[in-house]
Amino acid sequence: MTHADIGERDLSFADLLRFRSKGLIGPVRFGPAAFAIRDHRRWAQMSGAALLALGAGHLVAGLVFYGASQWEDLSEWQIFGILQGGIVVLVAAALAGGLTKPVGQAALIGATLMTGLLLHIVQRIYPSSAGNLEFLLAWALLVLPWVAASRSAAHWVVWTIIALFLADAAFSGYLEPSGLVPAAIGPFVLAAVPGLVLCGGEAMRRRGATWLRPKWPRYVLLAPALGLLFTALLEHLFPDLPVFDGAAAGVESVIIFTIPVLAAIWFYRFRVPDYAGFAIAIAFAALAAGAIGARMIDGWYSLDPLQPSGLFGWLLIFVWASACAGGMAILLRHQGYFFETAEHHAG
Amino acid sequence: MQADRFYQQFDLQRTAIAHDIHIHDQYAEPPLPWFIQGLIGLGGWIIGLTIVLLAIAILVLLHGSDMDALWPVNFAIGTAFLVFGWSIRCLRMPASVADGLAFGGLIFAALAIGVFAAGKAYPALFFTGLVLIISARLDATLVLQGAIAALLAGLIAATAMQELVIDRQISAVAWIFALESLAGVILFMFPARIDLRPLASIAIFSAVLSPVLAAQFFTWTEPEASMIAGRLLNLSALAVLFLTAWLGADGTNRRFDVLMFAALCLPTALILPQAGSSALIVFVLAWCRGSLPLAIIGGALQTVFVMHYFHDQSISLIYRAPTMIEKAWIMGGIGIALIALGAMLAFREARAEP
Repeated sequence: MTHADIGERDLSFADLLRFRSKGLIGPVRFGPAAFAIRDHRRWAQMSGAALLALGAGHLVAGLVFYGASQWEDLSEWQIFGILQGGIVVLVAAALAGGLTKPVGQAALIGATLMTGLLLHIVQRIYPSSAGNLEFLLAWALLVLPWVAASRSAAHWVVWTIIALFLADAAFSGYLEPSGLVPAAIGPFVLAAVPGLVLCGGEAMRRRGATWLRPKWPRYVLLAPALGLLFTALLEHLFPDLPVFDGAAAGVESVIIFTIPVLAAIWFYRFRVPDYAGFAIAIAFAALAAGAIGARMIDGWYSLDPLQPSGLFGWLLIFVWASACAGGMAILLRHQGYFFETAEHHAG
Repeated sequence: MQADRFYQQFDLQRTAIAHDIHIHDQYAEPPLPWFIQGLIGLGGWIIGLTIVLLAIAILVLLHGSDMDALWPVNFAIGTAFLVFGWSIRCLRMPASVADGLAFGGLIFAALAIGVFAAGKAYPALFFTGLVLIISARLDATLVLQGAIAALLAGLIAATAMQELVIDRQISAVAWIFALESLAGVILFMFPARIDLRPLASIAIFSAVLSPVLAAQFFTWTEPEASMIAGRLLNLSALAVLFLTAWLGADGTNRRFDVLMFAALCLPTALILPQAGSSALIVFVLAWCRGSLPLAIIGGALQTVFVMHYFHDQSISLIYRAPTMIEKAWIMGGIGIALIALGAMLAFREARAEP
């Protein structure tokens, strides 16, 4: 690259930091230079969108504060008028702006959240035998058409969170008290929700659904699915820890954790190379290996640090934890070139 | 911005900068993705910290659990790990392992002279401050600098709670947080040659979060003028940001954007409680620096503040806590102003399309 070419090269903030560290630019000029080199067009678009979102958030907060201050004086007609009017306005805005356009998608997500608020207020004003389960079931089903229509990955993530609460309510409020299923399988039921949505999303992505191109929903669903399974595994390994209620599953929790983790490692390494998805699965595998090793050492030694055998047990745990962490780090570092090449080819 | 325009606008040594860019583009290796760097670093930190924990376990075995009496030994061991962590970076040891060792040693040494020896946070505060300065001079990694800065911020908050809140010197706490905001902004916008971004980030974030966390333990209802002064310090931090943006703006349109932003943010910062104006500083800083992660954090902090504001009892400019209906008008007014500014920016950008 000649000096003439360098003159046409766009500067980044990292360049500016390097110039500053070498004393090529002084401290007083650094701030103005940082403002000057940013991509003004991109920042005008992003800050415009961010200000609109923050403004809408403050406006909604103002309405909530107003409602809280006037709650006692508002009639039921006024309360439901405001909430249902809000939903109608948001759906109309989505139809006007285009259901699959960012404005329409944002409006439909707003309508989804406002439907939940409306159902919550109905529950408060007209107490009935219907409980949390019926409320969440109604919410999840009523908003499903909007979720499908918006073709928005973010909207599906919001719906998954509602479905997760629904699964929790169904399990803890109905399935477990009625004795239909044992208490120990609770985490598996919850993990199934993000897990199934993730599998559905991956299947649709492979069938060419372009609106599922963003990768972040994959990570937002994969991490809690594996996290919940890991919690079940920990509960099985260390049932006496005070954070657990003692209703631990048996050795099947190890199998139920291992199969999805291995599947995720295989899928994101060989079928759809994705460095971040692979890294999440490997991190949980390393955590599980560390926990299983610690449990085995706990069985061999007393782990009382005031006893020599206990101290040796702690030493083994430290060494094993370091080995798991170091193994994970080495594996991830060595896979860097493969994923860089694979993701480059995938575009 | 292209390099040629950059030289002209800031009147810089063209040859030296062009040479630096040439060398960097020729020899720089593409970095690993940030999440992989994070996981690899985490692995190294776990190794480093477990080594320190092992040393503590041996110490307990040898001397029993009476840590107060043995504070000089504990302090010496902690400091030894700290120095060892600093030193082994020269070897072929991964930096994260060395950082874990150094940070584990620092925590142990700070505990020894703080909790075990004095039962107070301030000795640990001074020691950690000293370690932070030495680490920066030794060109420690940004992660280690951030970890030490976070420990320092925690100790400042603990000292403020221990020494000031008990005596109801709440205004002094407000001053400390506002000074942290201002210091963070100055470190970000007028940086030294040593990269101090983690320290600057921690200063700003702790200024935003500390009042929110502190409000869990006490309410600021007293009409103290110095609390307004704390808010004015936040205003001056915003003024510094807008001034630097103004100096960097290279045309009438950009300067108009800066003016519009300032016209919205400065009155908003005056009306909102201190945590709100501190969150606003993060957002404006992101806008000035062109940093997307900072913008996301600023937006998230502003959301946390709004959620907290419902129960907030901080005094306003009218020297009393606003009623719920007044808060509703404040939130609604700010919301409309933000939407107007966002719409104006979007409209101007659409008109500027070729």
